[in-house]
Amino acid sequence: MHIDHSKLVELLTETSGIEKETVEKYLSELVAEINEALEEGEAYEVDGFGVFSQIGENTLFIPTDDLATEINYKYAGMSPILLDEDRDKGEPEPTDDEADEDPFAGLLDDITEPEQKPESIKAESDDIDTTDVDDLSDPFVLEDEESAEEEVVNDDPEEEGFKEIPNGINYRSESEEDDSRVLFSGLLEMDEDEGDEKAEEDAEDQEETDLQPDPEFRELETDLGEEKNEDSFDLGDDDTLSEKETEDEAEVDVQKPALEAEAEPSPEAKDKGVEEDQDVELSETETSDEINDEEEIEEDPFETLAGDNGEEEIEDEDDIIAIKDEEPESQDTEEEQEKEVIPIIKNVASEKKRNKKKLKKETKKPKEPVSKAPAPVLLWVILFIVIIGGGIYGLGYFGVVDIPGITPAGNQSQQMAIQQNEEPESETTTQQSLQEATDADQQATEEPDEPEETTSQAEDPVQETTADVESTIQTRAAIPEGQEEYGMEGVPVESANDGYTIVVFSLSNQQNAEAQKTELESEGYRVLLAEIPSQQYGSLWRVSLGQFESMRDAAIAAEDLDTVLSGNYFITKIQ
Amino acid sequence: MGRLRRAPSANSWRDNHKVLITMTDAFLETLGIVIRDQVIMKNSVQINGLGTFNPVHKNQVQEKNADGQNVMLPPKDMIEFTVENKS
Repeated sequence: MHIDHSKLVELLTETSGIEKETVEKYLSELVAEINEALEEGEAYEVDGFGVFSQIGENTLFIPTDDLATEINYKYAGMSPILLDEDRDKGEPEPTDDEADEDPFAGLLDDITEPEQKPESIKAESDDIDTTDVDDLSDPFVLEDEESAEEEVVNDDPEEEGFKEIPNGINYRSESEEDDSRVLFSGLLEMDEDEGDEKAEEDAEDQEETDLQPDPEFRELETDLGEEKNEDSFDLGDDDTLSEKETEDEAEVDVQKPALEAEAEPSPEAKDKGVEEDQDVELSETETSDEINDEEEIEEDPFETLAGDNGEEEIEDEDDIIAIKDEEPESQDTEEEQEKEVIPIIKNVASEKKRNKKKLKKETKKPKEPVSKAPAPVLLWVILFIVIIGGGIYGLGYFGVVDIPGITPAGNQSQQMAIQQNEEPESETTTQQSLQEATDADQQATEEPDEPEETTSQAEDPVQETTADVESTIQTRAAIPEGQEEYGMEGVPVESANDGYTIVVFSLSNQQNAEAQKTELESEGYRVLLAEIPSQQYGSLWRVSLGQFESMRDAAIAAEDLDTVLSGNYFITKIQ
Repeated sequence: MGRLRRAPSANSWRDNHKVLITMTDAFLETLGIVIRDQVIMKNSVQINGLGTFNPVHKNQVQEKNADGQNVMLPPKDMIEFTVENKS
């Protein structure tokens, strides 16, 4: 049907109540404005209707979203349907598996890379510590100790840099623990060895005694060793002192007679000063009650020098700190004592650093889970809020809940139009149009040659997409003999309701729908009649043909439909 | 597309163009409703000097997406505007 200009003016006059001449004048003004704008290359927008624009010589009209939705209200909300569902279902699985595998691989790669570095550092530190132990096993090699201490000091920056690696903290701490264990175990072994060596003191094996001399002479030897080292260092004989055990053995062999001579009062000892005499006295009177604080202070450094392995020194930080604190208060009038104390202080400092690092790391360890623990909770809370918000938005958008600003205005306007149609006293064009549409539906039942007109009332797209659809499809539970489960002809069966069907009529009048169904059944079609309840438009009655396993089968079957039915149909899932 | 000119409301029309009798918002709203309803009823609406609004129905179409998936697009009712042949 064509509405020409004069009929349009009549409709506008009836609808707006404005006089016909005024309507014509308004309309001519509007047309002139639009043409003027288009000639000037401008677009012209009518609020709530659309935009007229000129692109080249073509004039386009772009309806507003509301108008486009209202015109397409029968199909609005219908989304494209994938035809290759089975294929799609199969394909993503391997990709998901791959995706599951890849992240783990990536995670492993990410983790192992930083972890390997700490392990290498750990190995290095182990080597350093073990060398320390090895060096410490020889109490006479003082320069080695110092060099080891220097190495440890030099390694500190690396350790500090290594600490910056977050994942490496635990490893470093473990390595330190391992180092301490190694050192501790090494000390234990040392002590055991020393005990064994004490038992073997009477043995005539001089090499073993040279490597690990009698504890009585150890301190004296170390003192002499230090002094000799100092002397030799002054003389520049570093090589002899820095050499390893084999060379040290020779040195000890040379030193031992001197030490033995020193154990006995000798002029050499007198020449070496009062300190050595005091050291000898201290070593001889360790167990005596007359030990003064100064002597204790002197003993500790000797023990550390002799073994630097003492369990008490490593484990008792307080003693070391106390020693360090007492040193300036003690009678340090003698310079050599201070010289002997200095390397001990370095060693204590390095130990203190290690212990402080351990303490820091131990204090850091419990903080990590505390800081990480709230994060997932917050994420879950945020995710929960987002899901709830999305759900509410979805309910509002699809019209389940009328939320101003979220529910599309098109649905509201359609609802208003339907409500106006239900009121017989109103005189809007919407009423007339809907009334005409209903009339057209009734005519369509009598004249099936116009399938376009038969779909009168709106099929609620919202109800299509939601699960609120209540269908009244009458099907049989059992498949009749000689009939396939799926097909265009026959009787609807319940087991085939999981498939697709071809909707040919969507009517608001149940009687008309029943009539269409009867007529199509008489032609041999498998006819489904479904009631689609709609809160906005009332009940719709859909007449559809066939039950098909897939949409592809339905599309193939729809091509064979009569031209009357194939003019305006759509395939949908049986609801 | 050049600048966008809006259909003036009653007040702005009077203020800017100083016209005593002009289009009103009610008229523009009614025009939109009438054309919409007629297009919904599959009627074409002609406006002299401007063009014709035609209802267009797009059938359900099977297409292949860019990713290779076959998709059945739903049917669609649209409005098309045909400019008047001024010659």
